Amino acid sequence: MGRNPLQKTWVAVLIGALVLLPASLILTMSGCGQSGSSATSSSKAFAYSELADPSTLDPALVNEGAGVNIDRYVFEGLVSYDPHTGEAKPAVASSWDVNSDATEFTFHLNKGFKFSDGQEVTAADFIYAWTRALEPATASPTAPEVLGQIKGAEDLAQGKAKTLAGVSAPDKYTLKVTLVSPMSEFPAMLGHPVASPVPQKEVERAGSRFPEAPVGDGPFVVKEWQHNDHVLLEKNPQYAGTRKPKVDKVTVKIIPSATTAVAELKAGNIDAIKDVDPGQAVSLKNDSKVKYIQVNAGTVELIGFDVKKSPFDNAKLRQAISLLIDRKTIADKVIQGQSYPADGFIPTSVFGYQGGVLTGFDASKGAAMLASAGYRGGKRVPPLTLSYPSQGANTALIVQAVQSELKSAGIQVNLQQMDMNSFMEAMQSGKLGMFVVSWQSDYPGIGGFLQPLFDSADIGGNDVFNYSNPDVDKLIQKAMATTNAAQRNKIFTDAEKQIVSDMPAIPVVFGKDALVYAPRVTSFVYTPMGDIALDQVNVSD
Amino acid sequence: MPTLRFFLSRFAQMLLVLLGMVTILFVVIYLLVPGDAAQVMLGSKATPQALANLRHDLGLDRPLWVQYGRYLWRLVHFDLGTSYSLRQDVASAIMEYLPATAYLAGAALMIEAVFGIGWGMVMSLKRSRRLEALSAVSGAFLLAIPVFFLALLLQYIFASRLGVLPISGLGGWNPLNLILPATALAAAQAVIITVVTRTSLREEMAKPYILAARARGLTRSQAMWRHAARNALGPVATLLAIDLGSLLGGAMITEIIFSWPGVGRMTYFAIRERDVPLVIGAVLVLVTIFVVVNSLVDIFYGIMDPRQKAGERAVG
Repeated sequence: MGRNPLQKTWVAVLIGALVLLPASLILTMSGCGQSGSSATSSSKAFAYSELADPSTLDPALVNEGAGVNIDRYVFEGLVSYDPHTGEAKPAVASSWDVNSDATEFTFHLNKGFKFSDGQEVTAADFIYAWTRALEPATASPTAPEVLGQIKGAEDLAQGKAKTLAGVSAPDKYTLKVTLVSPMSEFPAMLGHPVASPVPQKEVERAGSRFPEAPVGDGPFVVKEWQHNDHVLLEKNPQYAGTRKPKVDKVTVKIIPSATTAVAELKAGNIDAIKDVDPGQAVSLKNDSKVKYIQVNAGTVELIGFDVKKSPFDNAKLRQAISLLIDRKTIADKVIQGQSYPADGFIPTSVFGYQGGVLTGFDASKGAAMLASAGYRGGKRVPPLTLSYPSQGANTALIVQAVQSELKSAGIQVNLQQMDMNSFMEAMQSGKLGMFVVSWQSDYPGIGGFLQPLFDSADIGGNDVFNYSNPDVDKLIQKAMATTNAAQRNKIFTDAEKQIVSDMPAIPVVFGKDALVYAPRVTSFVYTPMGDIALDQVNVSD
Repeated sequence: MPTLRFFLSRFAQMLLVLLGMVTILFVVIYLLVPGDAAQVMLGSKATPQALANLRHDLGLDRPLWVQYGRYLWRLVHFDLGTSYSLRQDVASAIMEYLPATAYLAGAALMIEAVFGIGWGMVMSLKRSRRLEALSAVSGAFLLAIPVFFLALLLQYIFASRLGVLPISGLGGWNPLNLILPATALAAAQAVIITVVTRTSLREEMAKPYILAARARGLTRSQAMWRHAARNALGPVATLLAIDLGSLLGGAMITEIIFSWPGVGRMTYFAIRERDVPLVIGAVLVLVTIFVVVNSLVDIFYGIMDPRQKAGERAVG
């Protein structure tokens, strides 16, 4: 045996296969951290699944659900959000003062907060983190939104300045912030990870490895991150805040297949699934082995118009379309309870929600409004094109329902599905007339909805409707300058009423998030910001 | 030096294939994939000004040929660029996922070889109708069933129902976690290897030199092991070598279903995120492995069997 060359090749290939296994193991041991350092039997551990790996854990860059959820508990900013109401509560800041027109904030920092490497958290760490996030080289997707109002932020972002002019630290525990224009909700924005302190020494030491195991000051530390497999968090022994975890370890398992995630949950390998596939909702609802919950999410689905384009420049036509949409049927029957009818632009879970500003479905009023718009019985309304992005199964169902409801009122709507990126590009460059907008604020406040979407200063940015009403602008600016929360929310609601009567966009439904968890989970809170509250979660022994 | 010339010509062919691959990928992604990296990096709330600035910084506002030229220039310096979505060096990102894919591909190749060749040998020796029927039916089933369905079926039976194997994940490189994904990945190819082994062995077993061996008193089994197998397994070896390349690249669905942190799954997310450098980098690495493995087999054949150099074999 063995002299034949062909047979030698066969043996060589088999040996190749045998070599691949140990070689891959050696590669792994040298390249990545050692995995599977499982919890000791006495510690409490909780595991949940996400569909996709976080793209980063650097707080300056983190922008999607999985990463933000983790970073909110690896870092602690000046404020953190109440897990039940979404209200911004003091965290690293013990309190803050604000001047009369909400342009200057002085944050007083708690002493004793430490990063997980033992360094103390001071005002300088915030200045460093915010400057770093705004620098053009960082290309942070969230810093312009959250920190862009700070004086000097624009110069820094455009490379015209090296420092952030609007922040200073009179002493280690005081941080003074000056904004370019009034923004009473500014502290509420600072619960986003991008506003968290980062330790300069550690960022510079770790370099490009910093996002792999970021050193933070939150209730958990990143113990290991095996990409596309899991992120292991452990209780931070240095943590000095009020969000004390009830479990010792949290594992975020990355499971891209919804079916696999359910199988893992039922087998007891994970305790919760964060994004339940709508297709599985019905069977999971009736499954006695798991607990299924639906939580109002802070998202709104709008049908927007370019109000400068005919025929959408006719406000009565826009109002008629709004009256002709049966939101309850869409929410209950079409998307089967995965959303609820919108009664304005502000979802109920948003802190300060007032509600009830929108007149719902009324076919006869809608027909009358259509007639007064000059289109009796829908006649002469040219065929409308409703564009929507291909992402999100529910969006497609919503637009199909709207199409059929408007058809019965005599209005022909053609649907145009577009790839997400093409859609965004077309919408922002003003190529679309009627389109779907899904909006979620970066912070739990009414201003996070009304200001970016409807303030005419944001035309060319997030005001994709080309909508401009000086009265609305004034009300929004006034609300932004009002430091009393109740008064501010009232002014915002007045602005919202005005926007609803102009109807540059029609609120259709507010989103709901569906989650499942195992019976061994004894405490489970899903926050209005769309996170599993990792400090609240608890499991039975 | 005919051997050196042969080696150099194969190497040149390999480089041409890779250059063609990069060019096609670059042009196809540039022309067909809408949107761009700046939008991915800055998210849906980015202002047009911020997008324009980032596009300029990344060179995305330059003409296609300039972008292509810059990419090639970096490539010859072994620089695959930076991933937009991971904001990480492409080469190191791929190296992070490659071990899991190699681990899975290696296991799948072993299953293919052991089961495919073993069963093929049994089938060529035992001429039982029942066995033939069983083999035909199960073979047709495994070939016809889509890999995602087989994966879910295996997962349901062995993990969810019987609970004898893990459902998904790498499990800290636990070999038990490897069994289901490797089996799902190997099943269809194992059938093909069975068929090729059986056919090839039967052809050999019918040749006069086997008859002569039998006449010297060897049993069928002895004749097969000592003589026929040597000659019959050539095509099987080629099949396995070609398959190693496709196993490394084609495990995308299996990796998703079994939450396997490999290159296939990474590529899937890279495509979703329009991460052009990462997609091209991943495909390039996989194609390089495929081409290198096949070229090595080719060169190996060439060295061992001088007839190959004369161009008798058409496989390139």
